[in-house]
Amino acid sequence: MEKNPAAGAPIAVDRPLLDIADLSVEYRTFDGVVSAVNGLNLSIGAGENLGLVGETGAGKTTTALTVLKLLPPRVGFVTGGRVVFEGRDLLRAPEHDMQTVRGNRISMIFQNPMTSLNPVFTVEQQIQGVLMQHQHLSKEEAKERVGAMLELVGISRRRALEYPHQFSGGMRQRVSIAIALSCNPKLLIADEPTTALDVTIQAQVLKLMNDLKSQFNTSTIMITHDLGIVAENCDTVAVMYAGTVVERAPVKDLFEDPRHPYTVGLFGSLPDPDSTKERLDPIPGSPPDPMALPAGCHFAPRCRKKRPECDEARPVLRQTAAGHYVMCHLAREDAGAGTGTGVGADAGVSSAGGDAR
Amino acid sequence: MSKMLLRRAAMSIPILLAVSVLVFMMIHLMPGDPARIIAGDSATEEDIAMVRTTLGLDKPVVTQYAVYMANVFKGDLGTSLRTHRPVVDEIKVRLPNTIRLAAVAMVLSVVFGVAIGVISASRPYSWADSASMVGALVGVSMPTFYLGLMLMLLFSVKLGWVPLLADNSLKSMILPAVTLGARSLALLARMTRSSMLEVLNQDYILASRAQGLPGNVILYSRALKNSMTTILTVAGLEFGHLMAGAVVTEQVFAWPGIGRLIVESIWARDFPVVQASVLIIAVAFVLINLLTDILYTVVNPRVRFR
Ligand SMILES: Nc1ncnc2c1ncn2[C@@H]1O[C@H](COP(=O)(O)OP(=O)(O)O)[C@@H](O)[C@H]1O
Ligand code: SF4
Ligand SMILES: [Mg+2]
Repeated sequence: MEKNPAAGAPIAVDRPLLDIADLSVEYRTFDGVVSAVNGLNLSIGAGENLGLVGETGAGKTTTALTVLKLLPPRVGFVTGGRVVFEGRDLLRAPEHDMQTVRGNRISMIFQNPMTSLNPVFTVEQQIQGVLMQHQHLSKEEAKERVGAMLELVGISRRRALEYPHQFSGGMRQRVSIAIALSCNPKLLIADEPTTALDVTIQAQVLKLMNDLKSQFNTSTIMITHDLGIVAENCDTVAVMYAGTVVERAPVKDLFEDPRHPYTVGLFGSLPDPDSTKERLDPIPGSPPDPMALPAGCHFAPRCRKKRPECDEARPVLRQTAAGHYVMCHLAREDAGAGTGTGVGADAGVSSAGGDAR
Repeated sequence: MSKMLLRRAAMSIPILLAVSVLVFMMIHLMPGDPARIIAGDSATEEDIAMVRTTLGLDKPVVTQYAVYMANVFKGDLGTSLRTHRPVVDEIKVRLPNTIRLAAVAMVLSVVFGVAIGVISASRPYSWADSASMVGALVGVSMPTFYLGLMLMLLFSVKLGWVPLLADNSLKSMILPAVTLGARSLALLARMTRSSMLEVLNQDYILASRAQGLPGNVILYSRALKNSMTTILTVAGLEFGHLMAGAVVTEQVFAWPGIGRLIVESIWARDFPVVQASVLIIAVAFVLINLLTDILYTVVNPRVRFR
């Protein structure tokens, strides 16, 4: 893994830009209730680049949609917790206020560039739509800004009047980036922005995003299942498993000293570039059924270090070292420092520790 | 773009030719001797012979067709056996009435059909949605003549709000237009709803919500424009059907249009008028479909550039 130059940068914990506490989300379907997010704690400071990693189904997209309050109506429900952004709880904000947050203070880039642009509107109309919605601009000013945004993401402004189907996948994702950044948001959530792209295009798009987010001083949540992308693009990383963050640390700490048995297993299942032989050692078993989660630690059925108490009580997220949080009963003993009450993220969970869900 | 449209227009020519052959053949597809049928039961042998020569029925079929088509291209659709006036003059009087009726019916059904469909799709399974869709189902399945008679009974006979018979006023047009457009309105409401439900499920709609666009902008601009292709297809086909539906509606309301002309002419065995009227309706159907295709390219950029 390459070294991340930004790792170790100070992280604002005092008053985070976004602070998600005890968040629980479920989908009520005909087949049953899917517990997609289960007591999730996560905060991100101003200017921070956070990587949110986890397998498919871990609840990454659900978390992102909850922040913007875009869960599918009549199916997705928040059953508890807070999403505090710039000092106020978005979960309690009225829809009208959310419209001034979305696309303006918080933007989102979606996974599939082939389906996330509207096929019957020109690129100009789509960028202009966001600009005119959130900023007091005349039509001419908006058109000028559209041209500038396109050039910023490496597309000629002469192509402004073209439709999405006239662009390649990589170019479309650039258009999505232009739309997302056009109102200079404080937070950008990118949900697997390069998963659908070719490897070479992936690198170009990631570089573009990196250049722009420092230029715009935007915090980012980079959702991915690729630890390589995290290593190269993020300051901190949060690992998700079965709808909750099980470990969170500065990138360097996590790569050098993973503490949660699941995170350790993730590294074990990566091919090791330094050794000649393939070191593929995947975690046995599969993630729990979100319709029937285990009573104790959600990772217990697959955990090699499992103890008797792991089946009884769900562990809480605790700080084990500066900026390093782990949700595991063993973490307390392993830790050299800070075994007491954790900071920030630890606060509201402790009461839930005793009984499951 | 224009190339595609030219190709599409060229495709209408064989269709129109086939239609003209079918219309022409109608007279020969009737069982028995066409001249005898046209001349009527009480006709003498001389009458029948005269009909045969006036209509050219004594010549070979191919020659008859060639002569007929040559005349059609000269703007001569024959002479009415009933009034002995040129068929073109008969049609000139009646056609505008039908077009007016069909146009009003079409506007009514598109405006209300699309509005009902969009509102239903924006609140699926709500009270309003269920009520609209039950109404639409009734509208699609109700026979035109029955609906016409019921409306007439209620609004003209019982309530006296609108005149019973056509008097060329806009008011007298309401019931025939509603009767004629009801089926299309119901069909458009259902198709708009299902198309909008599909569109509203797309990623780009979630993306536009994530951009902070207000609900009505998303519904009436971002989503509706994507449903336009479906709406246009249905509207185009339905407009063609409206011309045919006019036959029944005009009969019920004594509306002096081309549909009524067809029925009158059939009773009078005025075959040239029937032939010409059917030909006109068929040509209108083909032209409306061509127009629909042109409109497609306006609403759907993916068709435009292909
Ligand atoms: N609309 C939905 N209806 C029902 N279940 C859903 C829906 N969306 C996601 N889920 C379920 O919620 C869980 C979390 O999904 P998701 O947030 O998409 O995970 P990720 O983005 O990490 O792959 C999964 O078990 C998934 O099947
Ligand atoms: S709490 Fe127990 S089961 Fe869960 S990860 Fe830690 S050791 Fe494994
Ligand atoms: Mg996802």
